[in-house]
Amino acid sequence: MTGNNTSGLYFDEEWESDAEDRLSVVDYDTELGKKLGRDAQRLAAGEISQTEFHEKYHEDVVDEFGVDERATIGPTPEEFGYDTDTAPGGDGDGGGGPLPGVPDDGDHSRRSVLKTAGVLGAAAVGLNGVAGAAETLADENEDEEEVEDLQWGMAINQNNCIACLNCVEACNEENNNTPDALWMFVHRYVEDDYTEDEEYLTRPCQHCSDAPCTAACPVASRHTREEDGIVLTDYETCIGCRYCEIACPYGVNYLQWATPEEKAEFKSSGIPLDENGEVDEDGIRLDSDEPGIELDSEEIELDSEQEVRFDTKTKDGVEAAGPPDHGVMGKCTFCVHRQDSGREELVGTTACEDVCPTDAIHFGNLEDPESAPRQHLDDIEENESTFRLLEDHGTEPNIIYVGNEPSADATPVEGPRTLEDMNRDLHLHRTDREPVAYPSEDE
Amino acid sequence: MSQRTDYSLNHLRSVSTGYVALLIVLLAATLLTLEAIIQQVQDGLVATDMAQQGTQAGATWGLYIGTFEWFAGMAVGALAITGYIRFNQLEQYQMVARLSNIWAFICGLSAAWLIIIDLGTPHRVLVILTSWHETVLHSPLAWDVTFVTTLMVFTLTMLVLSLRLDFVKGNPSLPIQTRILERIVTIGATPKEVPKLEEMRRWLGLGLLVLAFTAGMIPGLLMGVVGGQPGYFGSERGIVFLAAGLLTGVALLNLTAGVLRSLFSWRDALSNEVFRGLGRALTLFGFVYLIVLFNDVLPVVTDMAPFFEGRIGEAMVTGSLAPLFWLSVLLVAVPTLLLAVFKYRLGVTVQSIYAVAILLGVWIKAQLTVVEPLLFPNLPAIEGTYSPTVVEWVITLGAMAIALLLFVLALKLIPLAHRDTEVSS
Repeated sequence: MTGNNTSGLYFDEEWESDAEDRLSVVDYDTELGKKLGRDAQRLAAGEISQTEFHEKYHEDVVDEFGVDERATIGPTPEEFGYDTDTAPGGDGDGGGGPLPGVPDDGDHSRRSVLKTAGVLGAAAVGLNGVAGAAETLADENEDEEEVEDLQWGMAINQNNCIACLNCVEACNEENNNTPDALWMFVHRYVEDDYTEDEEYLTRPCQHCSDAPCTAACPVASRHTREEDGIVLTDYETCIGCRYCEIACPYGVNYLQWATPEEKAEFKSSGIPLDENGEVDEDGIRLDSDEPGIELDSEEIELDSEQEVRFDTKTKDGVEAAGPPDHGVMGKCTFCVHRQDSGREELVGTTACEDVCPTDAIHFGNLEDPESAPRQHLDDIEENESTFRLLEDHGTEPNIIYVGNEPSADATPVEGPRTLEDMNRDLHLHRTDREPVAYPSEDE
Repeated sequence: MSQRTDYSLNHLRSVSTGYVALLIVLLAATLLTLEAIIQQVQDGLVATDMAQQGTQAGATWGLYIGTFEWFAGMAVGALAITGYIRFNQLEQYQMVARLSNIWAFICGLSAAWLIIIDLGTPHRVLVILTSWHETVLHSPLAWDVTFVTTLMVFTLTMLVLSLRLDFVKGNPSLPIQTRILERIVTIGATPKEVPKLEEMRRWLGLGLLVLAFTAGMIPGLLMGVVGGQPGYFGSERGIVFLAAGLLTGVALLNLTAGVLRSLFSWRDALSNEVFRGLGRALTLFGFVYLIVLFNDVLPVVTDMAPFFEGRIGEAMVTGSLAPLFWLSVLLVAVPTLLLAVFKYRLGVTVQSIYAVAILLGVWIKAQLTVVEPLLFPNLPAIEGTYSPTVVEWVITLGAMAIALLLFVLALKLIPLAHRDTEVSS
């Protein structure tokens, strides 16, 4: 099998020699690499199908790499295609995946094996043979990913915020949090002594792409959902060590210090359930079998005005929605129960956004140029500034603010949420705690 | 100068009234601590004064973590002392080596269970172990578990190895509980292995030293890992922890040796020379601690310091936390200076009192190190407060009482030196 064929494939001696040179620098079977390379070209040329390709090498790949999930998951062309960054001699790290044990490792290891196998094949093929086909396939894949990429986030326009605290109340009501757990909060502050102007900072969890809380968690309970970037806590494994709270520079984490008295009341309004309380007429999964979310049929009637219960499990089966239990950490979930509800009118919404009377909060897919946050950012005046909170911490937050970031020495002032409110909430379980006071009150 | 007395194994046999009284007091303290722990487990961490940093105007961590740092530091210090004596084969300090070996283990244990107490859901602590392989690369607490486990394994190995050597070298009459211990640690032992055991003890000593000066810095570095809090991050965090650990380790040994000599008058194993050596170490590490402390604190009170760090430094040096900070400094600085001026010849009692002052001073600073950065949020929110509750105080002081109880019990089980020791005094 030498020489170019009519499909423009390259199997000549030069190719063989080049392939052997390239494969000599990796620790895998040279012959297998060459065979993979040849058939990868045939695959790219349409001479054989993906299935044939996968089945032909399944056993060899398992022998060589210990795993081959290609046939079952249907690898994308990019996963086994040419990648100059990871190929031997490329600029990258030689194709190494993430370190073992890093969160979400399972998915990455699969990808790493596929990538390595792909590199092996591609290295044998050489750039000339497969580049064109790979580029075409990669382009197709990019188009596909553009549609599928999902990163929930928000654009919050501080210039519109009037600190009415509707978002704060709606959040607590939706998630049925204790009053002292403010997953959503509006900081009210003044910048310096020369102005009396009060400014506001609406602060949900920033759902950082590089969330320090996930790295600090000793049990991988705090995690970022790969499919949509929501940062969640698995309530069933959280040990309450509070490292996530220590690692977070935004102060968005709230431990359930005491037993929440109304934990069983995780409700929201307007979603009808059927009699079983599991799936409504639109096929939405609303489990009622889990402890703590048992439905009270006496209380809940099939009436669109009734309050109904959400599932505390996400669609992945992780107990991460609604209020945390005793001794467990909670924070804003981007209303994950809505995102997982399967209902078109709820997906892409949050409780805080729904109630904002000044349209300051815009929730949606930051990857989608048509989404509410992206559209809002497109619509703002050119002279309006935007920022991500404490961006220099390198956390890559997914909340984009319109307005001015509070300076380091901004002074908090008493707002609609009065000291009386604060102290009442703070002393709910701990009557002996010292009352708090705003700095301006002391002066 | 009172009459010279040699070390004997009588401490293993005799049970004085004072010993029984101390045991009762410590057992009562342990029961009280248990009651406080049960209350905390039932009610949740709401039984403490810890609260969310920011809108709850609290500190997320408190006495438990501060005292963990203190115990972990002492464990590292005691580990280093054991390693140093064993590696250099300083026979006149062999009792100090044994004492520090025992203390290293007890302090490591105390640090470990304080971490568990600090968890909101302590029954889930095993989840840490099951997730360890996934999280050890990035989680500070998983590192902590690794560090404390390693420390305890090493200290226990040294204890067993050195006891085996002592038992093989001589076979005095032993009380039943020590006899059982001897049977266990000398399984398969023969006198022929004495030279090998001596070499092993020596090189394991070097291992302990390496462990103390490398892995020993980990608990300090953990603060830097969660550098989102100003005041926690910094390249010197591990050094600060190690300096405090070495000082408290030496202070604990000074205090223990001082009390034991007062009680038993062992002037061979705990000679004046040994006390001068311990005093010299206390002075040296006192100065090291103070130098590291000032290097840690001073830069953040200059105008060039980043705002958040500067605010914390200011609170400590001149602000709301200044009384506690300066008290902690004085408790270390005054004894250190007096020891230096009087050339460690102030007597065993005075040296022991100084050791107590130093232990207290470093303990106070450990609390400040943990709590202070948490009181000042990054975003414009109220400055936090933290006043530990009775439950927290009982558990924290109880942890110290339980550590002492374990040591007092160890005195009835473990010989503190080889009986036939020749000491030049």
